[in-house]
Amino acid sequence: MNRIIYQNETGGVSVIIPTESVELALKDVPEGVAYEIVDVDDIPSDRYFRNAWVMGDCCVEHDLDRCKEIGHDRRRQQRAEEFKPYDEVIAKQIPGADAVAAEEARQQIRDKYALIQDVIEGASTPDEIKTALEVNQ
Amino acid sequence: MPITIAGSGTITGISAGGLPDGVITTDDIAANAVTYAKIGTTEQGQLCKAWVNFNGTSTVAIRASYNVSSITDNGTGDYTVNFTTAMPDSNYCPVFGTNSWSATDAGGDRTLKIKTNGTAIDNGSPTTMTTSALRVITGGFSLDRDHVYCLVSIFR
Repeated sequence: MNRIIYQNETGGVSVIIPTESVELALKDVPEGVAYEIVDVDDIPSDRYFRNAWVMGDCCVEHDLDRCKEIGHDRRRQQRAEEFKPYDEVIAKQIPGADAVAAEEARQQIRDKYALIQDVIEGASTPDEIKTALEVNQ
Repeated sequence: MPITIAGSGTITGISAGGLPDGVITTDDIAANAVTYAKIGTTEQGQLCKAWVNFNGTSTVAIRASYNVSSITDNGTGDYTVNFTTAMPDSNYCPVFGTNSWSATDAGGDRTLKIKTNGTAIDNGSPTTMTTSALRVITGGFSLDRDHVYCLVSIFR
């Protein structure tokens, strides 16, 4: 089934998925907003950078700057997750736990994510950003 | 004598004084003549006015629905449910359900709620509830996230 796409209030793309027919769903396009009817296959199925979708000349495209913002957000989340067990050792001064080793592990994580940060900044495609983040998960 | 409902709206087979005693079976009524029972205002409030079950991941798709003309995918975990027939007002009661947002979220935090106009998703008034649509947010651990099962029902 077809989809209706239009530029939303954030500059991104909203995609209308009809239950029955596109004709019935046209009422759901905000008043006065330009829209296009596209084939479902023209909508990316990979939503990794969903909030970076923008209206292109013929179909949905990715805004690379927005992809980088999303990539950096994910990088920070992943880094925070990896820090967690070591943060706990250091913050709680757990007896028997090696705080020095924990700090060394934290530094390795910092170094790894500093490299990923550089890859994201230098990326020329969304796939490069996604690969850098997924390889290091 | 069988009861017959004619296309013009006339009913035959009922004796003077009302319906005959006893049970009226479907055999007494012409096939397909009754499609929707008329109910009172109080009973109408017991009915679900609209519902939708959709997949918010990958290629977003509607599994089944009632009185929903479409859903709008506005972004990660951000959807609008559009009604076919509008609600009488915006004082309806939405009921939500969802599943885990990832395989590693077993028993973890997951939400599906009304999108508000505040700066954070938990702040502000729910002004995204209108008679024609309801905008919802799915999330987990304070972030908007796509969910495989997004379930919305509307009572009014």
